[in-house]
Amino acid sequence: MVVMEATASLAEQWEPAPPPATHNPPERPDVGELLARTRREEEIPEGPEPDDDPPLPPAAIAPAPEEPRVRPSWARDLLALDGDAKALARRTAFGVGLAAIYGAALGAREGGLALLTHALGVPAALVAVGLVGLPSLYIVLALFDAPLSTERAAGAAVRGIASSGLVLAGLAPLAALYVVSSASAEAAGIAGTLGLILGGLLGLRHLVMTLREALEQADSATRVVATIAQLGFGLFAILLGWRVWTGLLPLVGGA
Amino acid sequence: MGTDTSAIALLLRNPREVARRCLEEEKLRPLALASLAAVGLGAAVFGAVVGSFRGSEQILYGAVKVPIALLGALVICIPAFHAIAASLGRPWPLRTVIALTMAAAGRAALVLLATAPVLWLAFDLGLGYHASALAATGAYGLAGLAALGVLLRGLGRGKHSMTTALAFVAVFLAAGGQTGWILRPYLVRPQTEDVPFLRSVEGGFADAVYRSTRSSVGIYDRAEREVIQSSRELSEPWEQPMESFDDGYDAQDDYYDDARRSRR
Repeated sequence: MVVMEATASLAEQWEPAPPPATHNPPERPDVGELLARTRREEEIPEGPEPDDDPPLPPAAIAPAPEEPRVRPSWARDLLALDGDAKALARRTAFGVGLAAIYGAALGAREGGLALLTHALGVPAALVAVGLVGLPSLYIVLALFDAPLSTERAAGAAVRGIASSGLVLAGLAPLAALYVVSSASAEAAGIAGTLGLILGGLLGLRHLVMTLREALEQADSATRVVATIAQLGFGLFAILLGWRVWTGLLPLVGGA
Repeated sequence: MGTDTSAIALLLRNPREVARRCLEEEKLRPLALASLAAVGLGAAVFGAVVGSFRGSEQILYGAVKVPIALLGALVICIPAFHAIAASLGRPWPLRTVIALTMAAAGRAALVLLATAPVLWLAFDLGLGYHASALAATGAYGLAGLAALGVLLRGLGRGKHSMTTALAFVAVFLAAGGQTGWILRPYLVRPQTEDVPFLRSVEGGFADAVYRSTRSSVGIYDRAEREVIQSSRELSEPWEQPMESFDDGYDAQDDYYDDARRSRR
């Protein structure tokens, strides 16, 4: 194929000469000679003639399906795992802020002080799980010598908070629509609670999956213990989160 | 104009290419404009046809309200789509999510546009109230499937693509249900004398789901108990007051449908 393309290119490059000034017409270069010269210059290895190429299998001819090239986004940066303490703190603050948007949406039903109460109450559960639950999980895993560094555990917690905050902020317009336009407080409470459950569970899933990735190098016995510990942590996180939300958020039965 | 036509053809014929363009942010402007135009036109025509069940000003109301309901639902859904996709392994830029959602909605609206003449003919041939509601719902379902074609191709075959798609559908149903509920009525009986642009606030989609769930397990609220009691006391079903029911089954519907058919 390369040889064919080179031949075609050379043939295109050769143009008829202008009208001769003398009676000696310019000699048209031989294509084969030009080709040989080009091969020498570009060091194209001699190969079989194009017609002699064996037919490629269909799988080789068909273009492989390419993954679309998606531009990096701020959401990718927010859910990143690595980074120094400053970056982790920034992502935590961002996740908490995003979760507060959902809280403000829940408080829109009553307005006034309820906006602030809910805006503080929603992220409180995420922070509580991260601050109270994760150190316990780290201690249990360390007792069984699981290969989990403190940086990795902190990164997982931050990722969980950021993921929850992102989902809750995304659901905030929908929650506001339901909370404001529902006639009964019960229906508004159910709509708000569904969003909290979805956001909380997706954040918890992100956190647990990140820990599981970190523990892939462990031996099978440690992985079994880690799985049990993570299940216990998941249950603890759900109960703690629910306790905080039902205690702090008036819309879901809190004070 | 030629660009818009080709973009509309692309929306209909090649959802995979549409999804790729959205993900790679390639030639998005003509695609977004065509999608927006399709949503406006398709939803307006469909709304007008649904409004034609009663006729007169309800045609205009339907043509205005259905695009507003659809676009309102999309505006509410897009942040949720962006967040859910990111949380499930697709941290796309917001621009990509907007383009993909608009393209999916544009394709759905074109399907609504295609079903509108069939629906109109069915109304004209005397289709009853409940059957008309079902037919309109079926058309909406078909449009939803067409939209799903673009979304699924955009999500690709990676991890959690089906979970993400199901979450998208659930969020859209929730948003569309509430925006649609707020902007009721769409399908109005021909005998209705005064048609408001918007019905007075009578709960919401979540209230209806909440009440229905309680009723299904035998827990009735006071108002519902009174309605059931009074309906038992009345001897004939058409003596029941229309206000007793909120878009539920009404025996008068069948009476009206019979009367409508006999008029024709």
